[in-house]
Amino acid sequence: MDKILRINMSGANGPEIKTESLGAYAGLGGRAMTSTVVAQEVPPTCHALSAENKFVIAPGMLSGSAAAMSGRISVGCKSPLTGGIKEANSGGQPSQMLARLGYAAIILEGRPKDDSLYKVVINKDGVTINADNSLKMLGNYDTVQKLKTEFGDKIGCITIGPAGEMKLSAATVAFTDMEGLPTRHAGRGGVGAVLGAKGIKAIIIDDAGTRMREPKNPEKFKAANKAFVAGLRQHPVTGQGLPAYGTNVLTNVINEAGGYPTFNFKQGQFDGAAKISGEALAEMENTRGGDGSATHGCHRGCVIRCSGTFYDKNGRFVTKQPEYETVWAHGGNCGISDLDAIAEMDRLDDDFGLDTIEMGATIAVAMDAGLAQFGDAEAAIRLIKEIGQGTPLGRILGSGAAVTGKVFGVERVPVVKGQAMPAYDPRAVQGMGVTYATSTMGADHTAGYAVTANVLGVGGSVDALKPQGQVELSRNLQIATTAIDATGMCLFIAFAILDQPETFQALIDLINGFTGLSLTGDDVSDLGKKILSQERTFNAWAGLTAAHDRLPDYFKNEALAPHNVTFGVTDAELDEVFNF
Amino acid sequence: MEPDATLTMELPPATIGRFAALFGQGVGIPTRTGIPLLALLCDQLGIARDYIDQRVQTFFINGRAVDQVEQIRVGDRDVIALSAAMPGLAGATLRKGGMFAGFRQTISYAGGSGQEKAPQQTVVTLKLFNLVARELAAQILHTGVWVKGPRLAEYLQQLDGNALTDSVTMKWNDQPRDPGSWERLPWPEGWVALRMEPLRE
Repeated sequence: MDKILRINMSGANGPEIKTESLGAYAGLGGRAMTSTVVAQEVPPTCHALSAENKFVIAPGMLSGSAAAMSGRISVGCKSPLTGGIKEANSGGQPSQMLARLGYAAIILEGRPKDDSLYKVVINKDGVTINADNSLKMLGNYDTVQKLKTEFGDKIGCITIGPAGEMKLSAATVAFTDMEGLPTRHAGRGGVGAVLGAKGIKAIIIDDAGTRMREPKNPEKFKAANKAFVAGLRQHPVTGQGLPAYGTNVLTNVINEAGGYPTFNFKQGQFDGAAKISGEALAEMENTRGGDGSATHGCHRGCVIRCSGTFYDKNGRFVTKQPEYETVWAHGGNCGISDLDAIAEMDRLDDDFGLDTIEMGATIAVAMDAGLAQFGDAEAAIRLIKEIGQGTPLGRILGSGAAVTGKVFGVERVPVVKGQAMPAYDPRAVQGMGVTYATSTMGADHTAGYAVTANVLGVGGSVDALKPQGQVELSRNLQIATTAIDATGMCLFIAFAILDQPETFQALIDLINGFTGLSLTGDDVSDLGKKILSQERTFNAWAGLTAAHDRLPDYFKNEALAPHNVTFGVTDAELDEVFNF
Repeated sequence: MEPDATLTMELPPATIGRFAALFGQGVGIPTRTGIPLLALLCDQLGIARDYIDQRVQTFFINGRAVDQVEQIRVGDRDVIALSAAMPGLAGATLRKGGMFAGFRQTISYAGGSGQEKAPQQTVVTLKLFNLVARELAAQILHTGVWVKGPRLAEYLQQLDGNALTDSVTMKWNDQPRDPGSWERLPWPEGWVALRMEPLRE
C-alpha cells in the first residue's frame, strides 16, 4: 500500500482524481490512518455535511496480505451524529481488494456542484468517476445487483442506501461480503450521510490482476500466522463459542446478569430473551439449513467464522445472521421476541443503509413516545419503512435516537454525544459505562474492547476490584482497542490474546514479519495513545468538553431491575480517564 | 419434597441433545440448602470438577456474577446459571475471577442465604447456556430434572419433527405409555420429574 487516492468533488470541471504518495501518512492503516487524516485536514468546527469535511477509507495495516483476520476496513470523518471525530469499521471484501490495489487510503473531499450522484471505479488500470443518476434512491441490494450486472460478479462494492443519500445521521456505509452482498456495514456515527454529502453512491473495486501483498520477512510472517491461527482455533471463544452461536451467544448471559437493556433501558432482563438467543438462532438456522446458514466468515481470511446466513421458513435468503447488537436493538430493547421479524428489520436496515444499533434505540424511543407499542414487531417494521420512503417521520427517525427524542419530547434517550448506547446497560456493567461516557466516538461498545492492560503493559498493573480500577481499565482498553483498529484485525482476536500470551506474541510477530519492523507491546500502546490524543484534540476543537463525557442523568438516578443498581462512577473519575 | 408426576423416556442420544434448550430458561433440581454448591454440581449432578474449573467460565447465582465457586453454599430456590467463556468486553467482564471483574462489581455475588439458614429441602433452578448446555444436557437429563407441567408440555409441543416419536419407551408415573400419546397426559400444574435414558445404538 504505497499510495493515496484523493478525489476532490468540488473540481471546477467536475470531480478531480489525484494519486499521491503516502508522505506523512506512511506506515498508517485503519483507524490510525482515518483519524490522522481527519485530525490533520478537517477543520473541527466545520459542518459534517459541508465541503470542508473529508471522508476517509483505509484498509488495515495488514489487509491484502495472507494474515488471518486482517480484512477489516475503517472509514473516518467528522460525524454528523456526534459532532466529533468518527471511525467506524467493517468486514467485507473491499479492504483486502483495495490493499492489493496498493491504496492505503481513499480521501474524498469537497462537494459536487449539482445533485448528481457518482460512482467511482477502481481497478489495476486506475480510477474513473462518473455520474450515474440511475442509482438514485436505490437500496443497497439493488445498487449492488445493478453494479454487478455492469461490472461482473467479482467486484467489491462500497455503497450507500437511501439513508445516506438523504444525509440522515444514522446512515451507514455498506461493504459487500464474500457472496457479493451488501451485508457488512461501517455502521456508527452517520458515516453514510457524509459519503452521501460527497455525492458518491458507490465505489466499485476490481482487484483482478493483482497479487497478495508480500511480507518483508516471509519466514517469520508465515510462522507467526500459523501460530496466530492455531491460537484462535484453540481458544474456547474464538474456536468454539463464536463459530457455534455467533455473537448472539451473549443474549442469554447478559440477560442473566441483569444487564440486558429492555423496553428502552427500563429494566435489565427481558422475558423473551431465550426466544431470540444465540442458542435459539442456531437451532433455527440448523433446522432451516441453506448455504452458510450456521457458520460463515465476514471477510476472506477470517478463521473465527462467527457469522451466518438467515433464511426464512421457506428457505429464502433474508439477511446475514443478525449480530447480538442487532438482535438486542430490534429485539429486547423494543420488547420484540420474534427472530424472523428481527431478521426482516436487519435486512431493511442493510438495504436502506441504517445503523442497526441506532435504529433499535430510536424505535424504542419512538415507542416511549407512543408511536408504537413495545413488542409490536409489525409497527417497528413499518417505522423503518418510513425511513426508506423518506417521509417526514422517516427522516426524523433516520436522524437517530437523540433527534427523535427531542422531536417527540422523550426524556429517556440512551445516548452519549448523540450516539445511541449498545446492548449493555451501564448500570450493571459500570466499566462499560465509563467507556460509553468517555470514548471519543460517542457511546460505543467496541471502543474499549481489546486486550488487557497487563498484556500490553499499558500503565502498569491494575487492581480491577478497586473502584478506581474501572477508570484505569477503561483507559487502557481504549488505548489497546485503538491500536488494534489500526491493524485492520477483527477485534474478536482480543479473546485469544487476552488468555494466551503466545497468541499475543504471534500477533506482534505477524506485524513485524510483515512490516519488517521490531515493534513491542509498548510501541503498540504508544500508537493507541497517539491516535486517541489526536482524536481528543479534534473533539475539543469541535466543541466537545468534559460535559459531553457523561451518561444521561437517569442512569445515575433510576435503579435498574433486577439488581436495583445505578451508575456510580463520579464525574471526577470520568475526567481522569484520559489522564495519560 | 416429591414431584407431582414422573416422566421417563428412552431416546436416541441425538434426540436427547435437542432438549438442551430446555435448560436455557432453567430446570428444577431438588436438593438441600446449605450444602456446598460444588457438591450439588459435582456429586449430585455428576459434573466433573475440571469441567467446572475450565469450561464453565461464566457463573451466576441469582443473576449475580460469581468469582469464587468454592465458597458458595446452596440457598433456598437459588437460580444457578453456567456458561462457557463469552465474547466481547462484557463477556470478559462477567468471567469468574477475571481481570475485568471490577467492571461489574455492583452485580457480583457477595454471599447468599445458603450460608446462614438451617438446612432444608429446596428446588433450585439450573440454567445452562451455549456450549455448556450442549455438553451437559444429556448427562443431567439422565440424572433427572424437574420441570413444571405446563412448561414441559409447551416445550414438547414446540419441538418440531419426530423428537418424541423417536422415544422407544415412555413411562408416566412408572406406567408404560404410547410415546405418541404425550399430548393426552394429565399434565399437573406442579413439578414433573423428567428423566431420559439414552437408547443404546
